[in-house]
Parts: sequence; structure tokens; C-alpha cells
Amino acid sequence: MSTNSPELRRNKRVLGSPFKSPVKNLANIDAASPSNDVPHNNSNVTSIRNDIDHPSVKNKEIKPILEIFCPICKESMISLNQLNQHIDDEHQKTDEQNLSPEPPVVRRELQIDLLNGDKGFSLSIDEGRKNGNENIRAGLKLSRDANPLKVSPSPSPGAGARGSLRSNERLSRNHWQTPASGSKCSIEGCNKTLSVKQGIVNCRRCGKLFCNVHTNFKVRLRNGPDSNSIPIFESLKYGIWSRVCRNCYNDKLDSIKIVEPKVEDLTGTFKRIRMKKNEDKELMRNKIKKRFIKLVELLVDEDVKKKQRKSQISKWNLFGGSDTNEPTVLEQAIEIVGHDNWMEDSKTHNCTICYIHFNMITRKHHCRLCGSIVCDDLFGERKLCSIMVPINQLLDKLKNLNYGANARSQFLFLLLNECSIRFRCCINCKNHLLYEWKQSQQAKLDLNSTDKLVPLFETNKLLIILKDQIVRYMNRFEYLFQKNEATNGDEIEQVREKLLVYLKDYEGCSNQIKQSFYGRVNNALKLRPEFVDNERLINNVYRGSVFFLQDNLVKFKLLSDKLSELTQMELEDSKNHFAQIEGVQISKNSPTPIGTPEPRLTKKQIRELREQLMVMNEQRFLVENLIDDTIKQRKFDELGSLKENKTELIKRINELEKELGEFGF
Amino acid sequence: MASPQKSMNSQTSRLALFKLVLLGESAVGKSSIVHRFVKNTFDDMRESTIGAAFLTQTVDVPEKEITVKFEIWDTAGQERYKSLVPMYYRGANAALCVYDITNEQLFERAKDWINELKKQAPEGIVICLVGNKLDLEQDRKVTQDQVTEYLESLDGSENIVLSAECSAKSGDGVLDIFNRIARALPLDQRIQEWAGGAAGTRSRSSTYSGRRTGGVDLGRGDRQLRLLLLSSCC
Repeated sequence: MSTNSPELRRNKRVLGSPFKSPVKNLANIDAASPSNDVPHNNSNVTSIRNDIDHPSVKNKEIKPILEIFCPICKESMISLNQLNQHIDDEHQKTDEQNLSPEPPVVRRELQIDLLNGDKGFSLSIDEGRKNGNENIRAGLKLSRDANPLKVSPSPSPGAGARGSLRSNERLSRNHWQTPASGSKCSIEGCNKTLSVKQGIVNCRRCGKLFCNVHTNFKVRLRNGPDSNSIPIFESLKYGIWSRVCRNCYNDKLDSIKIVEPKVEDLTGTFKRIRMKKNEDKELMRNKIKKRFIKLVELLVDEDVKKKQRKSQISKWNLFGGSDTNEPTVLEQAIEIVGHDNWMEDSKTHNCTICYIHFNMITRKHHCRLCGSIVCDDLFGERKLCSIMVPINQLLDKLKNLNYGANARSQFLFLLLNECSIRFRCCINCKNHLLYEWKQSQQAKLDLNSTDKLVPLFETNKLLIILKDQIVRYMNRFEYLFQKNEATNGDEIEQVREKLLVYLKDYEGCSNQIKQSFYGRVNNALKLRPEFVDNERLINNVYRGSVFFLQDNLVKFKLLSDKLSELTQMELEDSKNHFAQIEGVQISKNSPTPIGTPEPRLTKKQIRELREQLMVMNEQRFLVENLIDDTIKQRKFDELGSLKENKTELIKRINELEKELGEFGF
Repeated sequence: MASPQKSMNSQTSRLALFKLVLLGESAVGKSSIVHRFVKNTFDDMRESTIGAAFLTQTVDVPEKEITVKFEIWDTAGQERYKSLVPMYYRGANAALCVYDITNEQLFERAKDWINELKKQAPEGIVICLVGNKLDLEQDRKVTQDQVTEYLESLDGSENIVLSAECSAKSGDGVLDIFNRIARALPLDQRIQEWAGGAAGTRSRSSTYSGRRTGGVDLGRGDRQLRLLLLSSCC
């Protein structure tokens, strides 16, 4: 609708207006001359119905608004709007039924001046008449080139309709096809033989015969210009709801398309308004903030002065007083808010927020930030319009404001101590002031809710990594096991070890989830209440891990049990071997390094060797300490054997490390 | 019980160094025996030994005018430290196989230790089978007869195997054990070595200490210093 010329827009408004503002119309109808009995298409529906149903009234003057009653059921109505509604709701059907037997209606033509007669906004039916009934359908279109000031084209069909209805209250049936035995539905591809069962229906518009299914469409129709022409569409109220075929129904949709609905995109306006409002709010917030800073500065300064004065007074006398000072503080406070904003006491009688009337008990208070007069809710019965706010409460929440020098120097003191400095603040200003703080608080809260789950995500990440490894090594383990050759005994053992480690880690992670997110309730595992929001997520993660672990543990146990049978024999062998080596070492007293053909180490051996190595290292540490002690105590005669022992230990450690080789720590 | 330190003062001319190792299962009282011998103390709640502890103590042998200095390696009885033990009995001159007289199983284990020593330890090692916890006489499970029977079965082996019973708690028989061991040690052999001046033939440790016998008694000096410290005001 961007191309809307102002004229066109006006046109549309004219078009819609009769239904939008019936009262106004009625007023106009009243104003119009009673003798003018040409029915006007723009006249109110009620008046039309009046005419139709009660021809006797047709020449009567329309009654004043006070006597509105439904023409059909005689129910009295309060307003025309209500009557319209009533007729639409109650008499829609009866209307149609009753229409046909009604005698022809003589309509009055009304000259309606919608806005101002001088400006020529008068609507006349003559225009439609002139155009002729042939143009009625075209008239449904908005004739853009029509004189905007004169006639909206849309009324013309109404006029035509009424004209034709006057001559023929029923839709003409002249064109109807007469049913013959064996005649078929006229819809292409239907081919149903029409019968009583299938339905023998004439389309009220094209007159052809159809089956029931294809005439299940209703449109408003009125008679064509002459008795032989087929009925035409009438979308307005005085069209008769009639049964038509699908084809005609579809045709009608086309005609509707011609009438462009009035669409106005208000998004831009809305956005503009909203943005402006937001800007205003932002501005207000800034203003309040600035005032707050100034106020704080003033109050703190005053507080300091007061303290000084107090000390002076205590020193000198109890003379002088704070009352000399009090007005100046108020003065300054008003200065901060601005004299314009500072509401005058005499002009205000109600609280600006809760509208309570001020009286002896309910006193007037000025908000020191916006200057409006508000009540004080001493007993908490009404909503809190204003309170005396201790400034440290606000300072605590608004730490980052650019406070003045005084406030800055006293900032910590103000924060930490019980604050005696208070000022009157209304709830609106409080909200403005703490808006950002609340936002940040909300943001923090949002963050916290996800924070709770961070450990879950981390554990899950670990689980995924471990899962990968387990799957990989499990496959390798299976593969090696199936090959089952003595040559890869080492490797299979290695894989088994690693798998075991990963599985243990995995189990640990899984348990960690269990411990941190679940609690025991009556011996059953229950999600802790604080995590209920994310119940599904946690449950899935935990269940997944448990299932995976179970599957793999069973598999692993099966395989390793079989494997252990095999390794048992190997173990025996290597044990003997190991014992031999040990024996050699001992008998020689100064053991030679173990031969280069390294014995294949079983898991058990490795464990034992590692244990030994650990013990040796421990002992070395002990002996070293002993050596230190004896040196300190100057027992040099004992030093010899200790040192000897130490070298022996180191030797043994080296041997063990060599033996362990790649299995060492 | 006479303090061994006193006797040392009379005979300082010759000091023979011997290595002694304590073996036995855990909680039989090895460390308690050693502490009774070395420090003449007893601790009811002694913690189990870690690795092997090292202590020294001297015993006078007046008839040979010699002082035997024991370098005692008190090994831990726990299974974990089993691998450590061979290292200590390998160079030892004497070994105490300690068992608990209230527990027959521990006696069996002590026998195992003796067997192991016979196989692995250097020849000529003096072994003493020590039944500890004599103060628990009422709970005795291992009788004297069993011990003598066992010792008789060992007859004919080249090692000297002594047997003794003691109580580290009361102190009964502890010193006696060490006195007997000192007399069973090859002291004459050591004396001959010194006489011959052939140092360093048998064991390094013994010659090493043999040279030092005539030197300053640092241990006593230390003791005097400690006394001095004790008497001073701060």
C-alpha cells in the first residue's frame, strides 16, 4: 500500500466508515431530510433492515436513538452497535429465510454528509445509478480514477442489489438447468449420476446441475441486472447466502482479490515508538543516576560537616543548631532535581504513584531523585510508594558510578558502616536506579543455572575421550586374543593393562557423576533437587556411561579370564626363570647385571619388581637420612657401613630399573 | 641390667665391629629387642618399622679383653620389605631370628628364616633363634622342648645356632642374648688379624673399624656434650 495517494486513502476511509461508526451515521441520518426517501447504500444496516422487514415504516422518520429495538424480535437495544451485533448473531438465518417472501422494498435515498457537507464528502446513490448495473462488478474494484470527493464506487453494487431485489426478492431461477434422468454433475471429472441420494442441485449462480458434494459452497448473491442474466456476487450484507458450485465459488474468490484489503504495515511506526520509549527510559535512568551521584555527594558532604559541627558544639556549647543548615540542604536537593521537576505542594493532592489523597496522616513527601510528591507507606498497607533509603544500600549495588570526591573518599566507610545518611526515594526512581544492577543480577542467575552443569560437561568430555580409547583397545584386545599366539603375549598384556586403566578411569568418572548429581533416598538413587531442571540431560549422561561400562566390563572380564589361564602357564615358567636369576645374584654376592636376554615380564613380575624398586628407594632415602644424622652427631665410625649400604642400595635400584626397563615408572 | 656403656670404659683398647641383622615376621618384637638393647627403653605402642633401621651398641667381652660393637640392622617384618632383607643378611656376622612364643606359626616362620640364612647367608654366620614376649608366659604356645628339638635337628650344619628367650618389655634376657652372640663370634680370628697386621683380608668393615679403635671415642664425647647441655640453663 505504499503507493496510496492521500485521495485513495480517504476513499477507503469513506468506504469503511458506515460500519465503523454507526452512531455518527445515525446522527447524520437524523440530520438528513426525512422526505428524501431514496435508500442510501451507506445508510446504516439497521435502517435497511427496518425497511425490509417492516415496509410500513419505510416512510416514517427514523426514530431518535433512544428508541432502538430489533426489527425482528422487537427486543429493545441500547445502542446501534448492539443492535448490529444482535441481528448478526440472532437473525442471520431467519434473515435469509424471510427475505424471499418479503414484498419489494422501496428504499429511501439518503444524502449523507460524513464529515462536512462543505467539503463535498457527500455520498450519493446517483453516481451508482449513472454508472449502470453493468458496472456493478467493476464497482467492487476500487475505481482509482473516480472522483475521490464524490462517490466511493463500492456503494453502487449495494444500490444495484437493492434495485434488483426490489423487483425480485428471490434469486432468479430462469437460467436453471432442469434435471433429467441420467444427468451428471457438471464438475469436470466428477461424472456422478445425479440422484436423490447424490443430490440434484442447481448452482444458484450458473444454474447448472451438480451433486451435493460440489455444491457445498455458499456465497452471497443477488440478482443480475435483468431477469435473464445470472445472479451476481454481492459481498455486502444484502447479498443472499446461496448455494453455488465449486466453479462459481472459485470465481468469487477472484472477484475478492480485486478488492484489495487495506493493509497498513505499522511495524516501522511501532518500532519507532518503542525505540523512542526505550530511549526516554534510558534518558530517565541516566538523569536519575546523575542526580543520585550529586545527591550522594551532597549528603555525604553534609554528614561530614554535621559531624564536625557536632564536635564543635560539644566543645563549645549546645547553641547554634542544625535548623539553620537544614533548609540549605533541601535547597540544594531541589537544585539537583531541578525546580521545574520539583512538584509544588499546593498543587498536588494525591500521591503520584498510588493516587491516595493526602491528609493529616498521609503526608506529602518529595522524592529526592525525581521531585514528584509521593506518599509514605508507614504501615505497609499500600504498596511502597517511597521509603527513606540508606545510601549505603544503594552504593553497595552501584559501585561503579562516577561518584564525587567526597563520596569517593568515604566510600568504604559508607559501605562498611551502618549508614545514617538516608534520603527519600520513590519506587520508580529506585527501579530506574537499580535497573542495570537487576539486569546484571539476572544475568548472573542465568549463568549460575548453567554453571551447575559445568562439571557434568567436563566429566562428559572425559567420558567421551575414555570411551574412544576403550573401544579402540577393546577391539585390539579382542583381535590379539583371537590370534592368540605366544608371540604377541607381551602386547596383549600391554593392551589389557591399558584397557584396565581406561575402564577404571571411566568407572571413576561415572561415579563422579553419581556422587555429584545424585543422592540416596530410601536406598534408591535420586537426582538431587537442585538439578531437577536438567533431569533428562544428567540422567542420559549417567545412564549412557553406566551401560557402556557394564557392557565393556563384562566383555573385558570374559576375555581376561580366558587370557589369565594362558598366562598362568607362562607365569610359572618365568617364575622359575626369575628365581634362577635371583639365585645367581645372591650366591655371587655382588650381583652382575642381568643378562641381555631380558625375561619376558608377566604382570605379576612387573608388580613385584616395582614394589621392590619402591622399597629400595624408600630404604635409600632412609639410609641417606641416617647418614646425615650420623654426620651431624659426628659418629663417623658408623658412617662406613651406612655408606656401604647406600651404595649397595643404589646398585640394587639400578638393577631393578634395568630389569623393569620400559615397565618402570 | 647393667649398662653396657660402663663396661666399655674399662676396655677401650680393642673394638671389634660386627654386623648383626634381625629377622622375623612383623610384630614379633624385633625393634623392641633392639631398643631394649641399645637404649634400654620399651615402647608399648611402637610403630612398625619402615625398611630397615640402623643402630649400634657395644658389648664387652672381658675374658678376651675386647669390645664387640654391633652394627644392628633392624629389618621390617612386613611382607612388603621382604626383598630388602637379603641385602642385610648378606654381609652380616650374626642374625637374630625372632619369633613370638605365644604364636606357633611365627615360630615356623622363624625356622624358615634360619633355613634361608643357611642357604643364602655367608658361612660362619652366628644365628640366634630368639623367642620374644617371655612376659606373656601364660599364653605360651611354643615350648622349650620344641626349640631344643629343632636345634637338635639342625646339628651337623656348619652354622652356629643359638637359642634364647627374652622379654623386650621387661628386659629379661635381652642383654644375655647379645653377650652370648658376642662370645660366639669369631673374636679370636679378629684378634689374630690385628696381630698379624694384615688388614683388609676378610671383611672391609671389620678392618675399617679395627683401625679406628684407638681413636677418639666420639660417641662418649657426644654423650658428655649432651649432659653438658642438660645441666646448662638454656
